[in-house]
Amino acid sequence: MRLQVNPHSSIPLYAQIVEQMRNQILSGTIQAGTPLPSVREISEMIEVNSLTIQKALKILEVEKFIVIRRGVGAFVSESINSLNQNQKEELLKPGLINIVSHARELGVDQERFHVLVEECWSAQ
Amino acid sequence: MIEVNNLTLFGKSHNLRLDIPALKFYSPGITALVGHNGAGKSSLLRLMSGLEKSNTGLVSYLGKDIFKDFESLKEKIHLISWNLELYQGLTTKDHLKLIKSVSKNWSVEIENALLKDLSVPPDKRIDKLSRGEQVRFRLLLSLPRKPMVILLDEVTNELDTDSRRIIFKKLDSYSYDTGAQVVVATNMIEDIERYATDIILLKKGKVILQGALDNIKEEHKTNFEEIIRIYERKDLQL
Repeated sequence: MRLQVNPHSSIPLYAQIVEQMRNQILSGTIQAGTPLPSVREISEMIEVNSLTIQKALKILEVEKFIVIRRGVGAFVSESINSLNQNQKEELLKPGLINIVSHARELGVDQERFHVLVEECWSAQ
Repeated sequence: MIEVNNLTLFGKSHNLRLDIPALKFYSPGITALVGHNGAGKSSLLRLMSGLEKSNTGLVSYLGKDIFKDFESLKEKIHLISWNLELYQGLTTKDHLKLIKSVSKNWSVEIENALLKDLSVPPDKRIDKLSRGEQVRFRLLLSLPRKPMVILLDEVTNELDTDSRRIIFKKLDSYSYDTGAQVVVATNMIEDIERYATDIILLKKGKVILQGALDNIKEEHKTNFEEIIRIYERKDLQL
């Protein structure tokens, strides 16, 4: 698991953590069943408040990305990797819709948008 | 939980130093008390610690008047401030021994964990300690007594990043483990962004912004520094 937060961002820390962990679980970077470090360990590692980590983990639990077993710890949910391609794509949609509407607001047309996506895709 | 109700405090020349209708501190968590010099941060912390009496209104801890019940609450509420002196002539070892001998519920477990992580010089005269060492030493004197409220009056401001990180990590883990409430008067934006769960912004004795940092960011859709700038610029609507 790799977390890199930016405390100076307008996005709350818990949301940054949820986003990054969600992505790493979906992409398989963190595999199903993997035990996660404890709240305190993650807090120590990225130097942010423990309650922020706890909040992020609770959200991931509600979204069924992780399972929290009392007294044992948190694990990446076993059912996540069984998501098929369609389901993974569904998960991308809310973010895409945001970006598309943002592009429209800024007057970026469909053709230019595709070019931008291509550019970002190959830059990563 | 600490609650502030209808609080006013006047200065020597009858100027209004604090005017706070209502304020609640939820535990656990770290609340950052922010504001310019003279905004009333230190005054508020002194009132919350029971060392000073307000002119009107009440500061209470679990329903008890903090000023009236000072004797029974002083073990529960700790203020760490440069205005409260340690015994300068003692060594850290002797000072620790002294505080241990007068503390009823000293936790050796917390003490040992702190000794391991705080890297306080084990036997050095108090007046020879650096500022950072002094603050870390004060935590060593405070946390093993298991306070439920810890108030820090701008003691972290001039310290280097490493020292501040060690201190905030300890405050965070202590609060998380015990449910204690930490209130830190500070203007260090980076510490607040990393470690504060809640914010109180004071201006000329009044609370002009209060809430969970996450909610405040989501509401304003911008970063903390910019939010502070917006509020500091606003004229108070009285």
